[in-house]
Amino acid sequence: MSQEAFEALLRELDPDDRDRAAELYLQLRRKLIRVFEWRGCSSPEELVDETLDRVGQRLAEDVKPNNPASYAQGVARHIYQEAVRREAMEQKRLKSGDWPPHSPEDPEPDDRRLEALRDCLEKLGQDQRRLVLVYHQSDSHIEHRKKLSNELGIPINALRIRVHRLRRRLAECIEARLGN
Amino acid sequence: MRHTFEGDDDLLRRYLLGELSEEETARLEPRLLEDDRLLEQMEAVEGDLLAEYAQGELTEEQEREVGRRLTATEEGRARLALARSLHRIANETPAEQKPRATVVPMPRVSSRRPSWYAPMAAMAAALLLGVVGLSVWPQLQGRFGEHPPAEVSNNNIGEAIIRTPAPDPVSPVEATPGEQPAEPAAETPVSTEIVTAPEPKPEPVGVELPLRSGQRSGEAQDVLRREVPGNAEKIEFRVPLRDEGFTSYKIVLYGPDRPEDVFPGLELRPLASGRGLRFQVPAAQVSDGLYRIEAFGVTASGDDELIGDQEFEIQR
Repeated sequence: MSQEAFEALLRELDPDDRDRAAELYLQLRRKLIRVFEWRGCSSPEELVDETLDRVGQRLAEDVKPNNPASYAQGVARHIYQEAVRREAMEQKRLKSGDWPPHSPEDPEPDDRRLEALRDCLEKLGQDQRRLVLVYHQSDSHIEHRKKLSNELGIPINALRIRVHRLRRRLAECIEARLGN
Repeated sequence: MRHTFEGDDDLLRRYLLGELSEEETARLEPRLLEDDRLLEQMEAVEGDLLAEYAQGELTEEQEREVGRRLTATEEGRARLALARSLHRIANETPAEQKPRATVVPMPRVSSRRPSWYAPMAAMAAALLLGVVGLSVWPQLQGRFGEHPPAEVSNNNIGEAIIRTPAPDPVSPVEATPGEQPAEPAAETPVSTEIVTAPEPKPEPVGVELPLRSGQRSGEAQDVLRREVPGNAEKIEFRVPLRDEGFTSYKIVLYGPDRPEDVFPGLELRPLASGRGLRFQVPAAQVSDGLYRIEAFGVTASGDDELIGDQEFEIQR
């Protein structure tokens, strides 16, 4: 991204506070990465960089969107469609597979990760550890979650968020333990 | 900003499974960028789908979509590995280690600044009437359960203020036999402000607002209808809540159609029963129309969790 485009984007995010603008930029970038991931893109960061670059360029040309996030999402959608078309053409040339290519890796947890997870679970509070383990205990997750939410007397979506936050802590802990 | 419930979870799940139309997707994705809660909820649904994928609970088509969408990146594959690991360890764990329903020890009153719900201005389509932190729940029951409650209020900068209660003419709805006269709180937290002066209390019209727990699947929401006499001076909204172990609570009230109509200085007080909270607003400022209330619990780590919501219609 050109310096001019980057500065224009920061100004749009917060014209008065550059630090805050930088924080908002990183948040927007992270969210766009997630959206590209959920669309099945295997290189979301590249597409996000392309998106933000294009948004910055347009802003530097004095385009004034009402909502920078929505504007960025609109640009992201175009970038995604371009990427799909680009990839489809490449795939057609290669005459193989769907886009995006599905990873051949189907990750089985290795021993190091399992041990790291065990250690990280020990760092949780007892109730938190119980919760996250019981949540993942069943082979029939949907029914199991409903039952668990009834037992705990909390809405199922609150339960889901609670477990998600614990999973996120565990994931961060594991990566830290593995030195990633 | 509108918060999310089980109905949204269905939408999010369908999004991740590639079941939404392009139009639905185009409506949803900008919301993901604007609404942090929705993004977090999407990540939670993603975690559930990965757990189901890991256990082979999805249909063949769903499995293909999850594999394509959620494990295309290294980060996605790490999430899947975590889901598998958790399942493996969980099934090694003795069954008796079931989580208990939340049992919360009696914490001290905290005077720390609550982590206020701070909606992004661009997303504030609804009228934010008040965001108020209510201090620790068990304190309400334990400290004040048999006495008129201490007042826990918002001083407009987000700081909880604990006041000793004035002689409180408990309204008929809340009055319980055998209530004792007020006594000073036995334990005064450090750096809380003690105000002993009684304050005048208008006779409010009580409006009960039982919340829905959020366990619904996109069905049409029942709207409570509440009639308020035309000569009422104040309306007291009463929101029953269960103890779910949160350190504080917040209420967000969305108004019907006048986003400029903000109630400043909204105060939260615990119900006399200790099992909910109440707040008063001038009746003259409450117009007819559809409102929405959302209650959040704040965890020890400062995160908000939606407890429940309710839409209600005020008729004068």
